[in-house]
Amino acid sequence: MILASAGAVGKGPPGSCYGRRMAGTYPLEDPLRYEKPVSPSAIVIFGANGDLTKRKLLPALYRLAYERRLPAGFAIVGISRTEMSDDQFREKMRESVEHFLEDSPFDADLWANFAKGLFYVSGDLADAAMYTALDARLKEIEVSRQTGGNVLFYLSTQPSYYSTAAAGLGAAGLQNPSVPGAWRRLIVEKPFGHDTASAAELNTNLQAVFPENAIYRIDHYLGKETVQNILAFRFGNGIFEPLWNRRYVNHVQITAAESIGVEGRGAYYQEAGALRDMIQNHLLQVMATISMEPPASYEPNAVRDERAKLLRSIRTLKPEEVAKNAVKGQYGPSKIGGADVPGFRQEHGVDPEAQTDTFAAITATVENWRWAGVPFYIRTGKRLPKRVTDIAIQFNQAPLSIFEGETGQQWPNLLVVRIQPEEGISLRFFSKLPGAGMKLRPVTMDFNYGTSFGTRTPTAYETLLLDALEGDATLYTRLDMVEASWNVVQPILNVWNETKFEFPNYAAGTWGPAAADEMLAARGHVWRVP
Amino acid sequence: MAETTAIDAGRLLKELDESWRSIGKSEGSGVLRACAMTLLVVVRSEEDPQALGETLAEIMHEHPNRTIVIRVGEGNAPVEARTSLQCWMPFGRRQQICCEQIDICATRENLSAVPPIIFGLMVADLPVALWCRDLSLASLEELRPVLRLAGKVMVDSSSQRDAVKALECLRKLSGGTWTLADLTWARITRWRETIVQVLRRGEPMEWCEVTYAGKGVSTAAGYLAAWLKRVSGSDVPLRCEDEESPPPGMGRIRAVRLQGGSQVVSLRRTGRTSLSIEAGRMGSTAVFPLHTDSMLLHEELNVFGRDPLFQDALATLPEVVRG
Repeated sequence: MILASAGAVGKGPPGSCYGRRMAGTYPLEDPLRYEKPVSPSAIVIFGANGDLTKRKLLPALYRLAYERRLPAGFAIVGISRTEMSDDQFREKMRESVEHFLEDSPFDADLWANFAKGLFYVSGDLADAAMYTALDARLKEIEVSRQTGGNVLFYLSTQPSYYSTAAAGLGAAGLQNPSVPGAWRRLIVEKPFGHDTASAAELNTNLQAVFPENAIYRIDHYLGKETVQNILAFRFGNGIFEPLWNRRYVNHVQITAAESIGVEGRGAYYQEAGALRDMIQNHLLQVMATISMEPPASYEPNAVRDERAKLLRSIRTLKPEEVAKNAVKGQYGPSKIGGADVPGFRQEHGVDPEAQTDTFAAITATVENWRWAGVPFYIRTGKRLPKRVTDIAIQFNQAPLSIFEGETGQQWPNLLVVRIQPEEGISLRFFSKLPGAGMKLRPVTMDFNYGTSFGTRTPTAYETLLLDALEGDATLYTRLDMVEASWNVVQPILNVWNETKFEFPNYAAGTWGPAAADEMLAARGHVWRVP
Repeated sequence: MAETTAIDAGRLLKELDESWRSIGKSEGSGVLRACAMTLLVVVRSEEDPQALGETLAEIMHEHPNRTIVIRVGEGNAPVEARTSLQCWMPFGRRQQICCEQIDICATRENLSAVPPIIFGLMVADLPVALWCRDLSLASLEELRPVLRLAGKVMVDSSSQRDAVKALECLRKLSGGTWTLADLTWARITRWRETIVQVLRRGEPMEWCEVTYAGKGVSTAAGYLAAWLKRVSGSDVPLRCEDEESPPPGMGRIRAVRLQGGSQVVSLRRTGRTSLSIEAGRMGSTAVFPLHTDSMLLHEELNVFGRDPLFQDALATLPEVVRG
């Protein structure tokens, strides 16, 4: 059975999928049917020749143009080291958009118009001359494209260049709007540092140039429709929130599994690892979303205050507690579906002695009145049996079994929020088996996002780019959130860095090392099979 | 599926129940039953069943519902009804999703027998919407009890070639217990959105003009002019540019010209799906989708409750249309 919603909670206006904001005061606006317009602006993408630009950013911007969400006065300036003319850049981006555009047709006429707003500046990020050239180009574009002096800088480079680029922009005065009333903003991709100290240093460097309210730290998980839907589910309904606490919730499991390996990113991944790559940012943000207190309003800082407060409430592990509450794993070679799959250490570009975590699981506890004593189990890994991201809230079992053969012990009520694939929500509960007697069987009620709302959902990058252009930072992480996340992860990293692990400790295609099961077993719990 | 002369809501629901059991047995992985509302659809009997079926199928994908189609014909044939399940397999899934459909055929003579049947067929506790493209059909007195069941009544004034005639019908349908919606208002959403995007925020609108194609005053153009008049506070002339009717789906509005602050803005439909925009020295192109009934219904079904801007435009429409 499908439970389809009667209204449109958390859903945007028709014909567009970007409807989160409320009505403004502009008399032409119609928030029931379309979004308020984005102000004229230019986006400057550092790392325009990179994978992220080609796969995600340009397709997202083109799609926004297709949805008529971009203003008439709009331009994109690509920056990278490669020498290229504007036309060569346009052609390259056209190929990328045609190739990577998802769920959308490519419209040649629209592209012709969109491409007129594409420009390119080549140069070295460490070279002051490049910023002078960029400044000149932006001034030209401001006139020719009527961008109003508003500029969004997007750092899509290697993380080691973030500070260099910010300093270069600052030295050229590009952080200051050329027109009174205009804005300048900076988007930074994760990782925000590789440990607490480097994150603090990066923040200092960025804040030396841009004020905190102009820095948008992107975590694309927060831009996913289903993660946003957690807020709609929790705070748009009256029946769940009363159950959302230690009295009714037994524990929470958050799983982000990938079936693929490092896919040519071995050299990068070897330095990052699963704990840094997924838990420090994406999964702690998801945990904060599922467990934060209700914000007073759906305003950027009201929501972010609650997320930050929750992250600060996660108990920091002492060194001697790490072994019992965190599991590090690395996959070894295996045979999946008859094919040989290499272990992590056999992947291209990976050190054969690498101590990298391709699997990480932690037990987090939240020290506040709502969640005290409720474990949050978080696991992520590569080469696990399937690609799935979900959150499972397991409720306490009924206090008394009154039916024959009731197996409530093994089948407590479970609410699963599926983030990918097949986004949706399902609730497991007991039902009577037809026939004589009172035999029970667990069944599920499923809400499927895709089948209940037939419209296309925007990609996370479409949502987040549009938000940044509109100055809405609700779905972006703030400095205090980044710091709080590192405070959770750093003690684990410290212990792991001082320990030599016997790797590999799980075979590719399995659900991770035995130690992960033991971590839950110590509290009488078992991992779900998602 | 069954045909009957003695129509009983209980029997129709039982038939549906049997259909669910039957399809559940035949489909190994079961089916998903989807329903978020009751959608009442009133059409004339000569309406192309295939085109209507396609529209309803598209709507079901986005707004799963129990559809009750009331076909109104002439003559004195008895009321007939049949039930069916509409199923589809979403891409990449192994389970079908199904919605219920009930088709009722009646004539003007026995139309008054239909509302009691429908009362028993509504899905409990979920919203009810009614779609009747034909303004004069929607205005029939015999259908009033059915209209009163609906929270929202969606008509399409473009079924009347002339806005003056459309206004008479719209006036008859206004003031009921339901919220009235006109799909022609949804037809101008893209125009309004584009105007908002092109105009600089905060700049006053000094003058505007709307032109259209086809004989008779276009209701769509009238709505757009009414909306612009409410926003700008000044009269907005409506002008017929070409008496030839545009191709289906393109809409009758040809162009909008307006002065917003220091810039003159011109929006002109240049093709079936394209619009050229000139704002000051800037020129660009926008994609306008071809309007289908399902697209317009989808937009309206997403607006549950009162739409104050539409109400304002409807109230202003007589002034604009009659000059």
